[in-house]
Amino acid sequence: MKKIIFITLSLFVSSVHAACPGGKTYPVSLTFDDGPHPTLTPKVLKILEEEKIKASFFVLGEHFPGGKSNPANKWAYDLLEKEKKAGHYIGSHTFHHIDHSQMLSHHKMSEAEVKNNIVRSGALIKDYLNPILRLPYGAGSFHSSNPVVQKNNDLIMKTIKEAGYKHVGWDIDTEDWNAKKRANVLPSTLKQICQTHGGVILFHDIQANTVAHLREWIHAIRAEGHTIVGLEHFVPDVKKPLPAAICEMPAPGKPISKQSEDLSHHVHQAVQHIKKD
Amino acid sequence: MKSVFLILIWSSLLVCFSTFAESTVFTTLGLGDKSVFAGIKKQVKGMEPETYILEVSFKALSQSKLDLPKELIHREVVGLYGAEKGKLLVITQRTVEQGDRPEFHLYNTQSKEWKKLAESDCLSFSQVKVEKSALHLTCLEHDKKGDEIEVIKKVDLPEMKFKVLGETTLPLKRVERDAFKAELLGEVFEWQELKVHYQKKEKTFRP
Repeated sequence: MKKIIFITLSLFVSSVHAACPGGKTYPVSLTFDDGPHPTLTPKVLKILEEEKIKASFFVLGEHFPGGKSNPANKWAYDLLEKEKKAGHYIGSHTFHHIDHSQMLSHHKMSEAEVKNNIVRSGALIKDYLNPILRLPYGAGSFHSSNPVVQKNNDLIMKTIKEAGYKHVGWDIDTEDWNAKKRANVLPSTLKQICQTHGGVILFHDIQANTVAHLREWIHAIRAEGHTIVGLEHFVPDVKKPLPAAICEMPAPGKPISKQSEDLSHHVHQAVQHIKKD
Repeated sequence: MKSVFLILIWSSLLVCFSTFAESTVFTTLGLGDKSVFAGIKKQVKGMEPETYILEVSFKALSQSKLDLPKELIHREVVGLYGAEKGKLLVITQRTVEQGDRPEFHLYNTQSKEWKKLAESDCLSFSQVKVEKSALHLTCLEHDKKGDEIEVIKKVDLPEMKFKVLGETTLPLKRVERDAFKAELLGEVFEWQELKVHYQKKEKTFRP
């Protein structure tokens, strides 16, 4: 009877405490979207190096317009080089940060334009790329109750697969970009780790607030007993060689989306600032 | 004694197994002429999040579901502001992975019609100053060095005449007017109850 009482009380106490029920701990992998950023990404890399963490970066093709032949992109390629040398994985976050599914549903882009935005980053970053891709907003990777949206999502996922990418989503969305939830990033992350039994954590290396708190968040995750592992733990395909198809994509063009321009605006602003210095 | 343990076991299991597989939560509140409106987000793992609005009338304390236009159902309701002539401003944003441009829609509670009024390039905001026919959003952006700065962006909404003016912080978890009060209860950002008081009546709603 005493045993039953003890187990019952332990279950109850652990379920209302911040740590995972039963004192369980889980593996997690850190991923960073939307970069690289000329001043913030180097700070993220420094923290990861000091904390001995292998992370994954899902970069936007629009930070490499014109490829390596454009000297203005040197900073961005230098950062990819550093990421690769440090043992991090590099994935595509497509070219422009757009909602591909919505673009199709609202006829804002043609099917060919959407497919092109998904696959064309590969040609720009093929020397650094692992065969992984994450869709902006995850849009296209989810199931939708709306048959029109679902049809578009199916097309988007088929395009990714045919191009040779493995789509990598996430299990824990930190919403580190969101002013409304700023104070809740860490508690929410720890809670989600328990709920999802660990998994892939989503951050952004273009957010100053993320850079400012990243070390503290890493320490808090580890203090709960969780282990920070490489993406290969959850996505073994990340170690596969890059399929030839990825390297044979057309060259990029001009920005096509206001939404995407907004998101990358401060990255380009920072680059201009560095050039002036 | 036995029943106490049964309750303890049941509540522990309930918390342990209430995993992320499915969650339906309130996202924010807003006051209309005769009712309170609450944004609701339903998330099922692997599915697009879905959104609708719950309307609770002041006097009858009765609820009704307000569906969003199909182009908005996968966006989150992040702000609700009541205005004159039964108009409601609905602010929506995609909040999965990264924020997108918030969109501002007018819902006319009398004609039951929706109309898109504006969108803003303010991807991250929580402070909103309400003027008679405009909102001022305090946007978190980055300067040339990559440091975070606040930039105020005005959204002109000439079709709206807001009743309650001043500074607000989104999401709104509590609203009140005269004898009416409404409050979201539960864990922060995972509110699962809407408690409504009108005069001496009180009722709790779930999404």
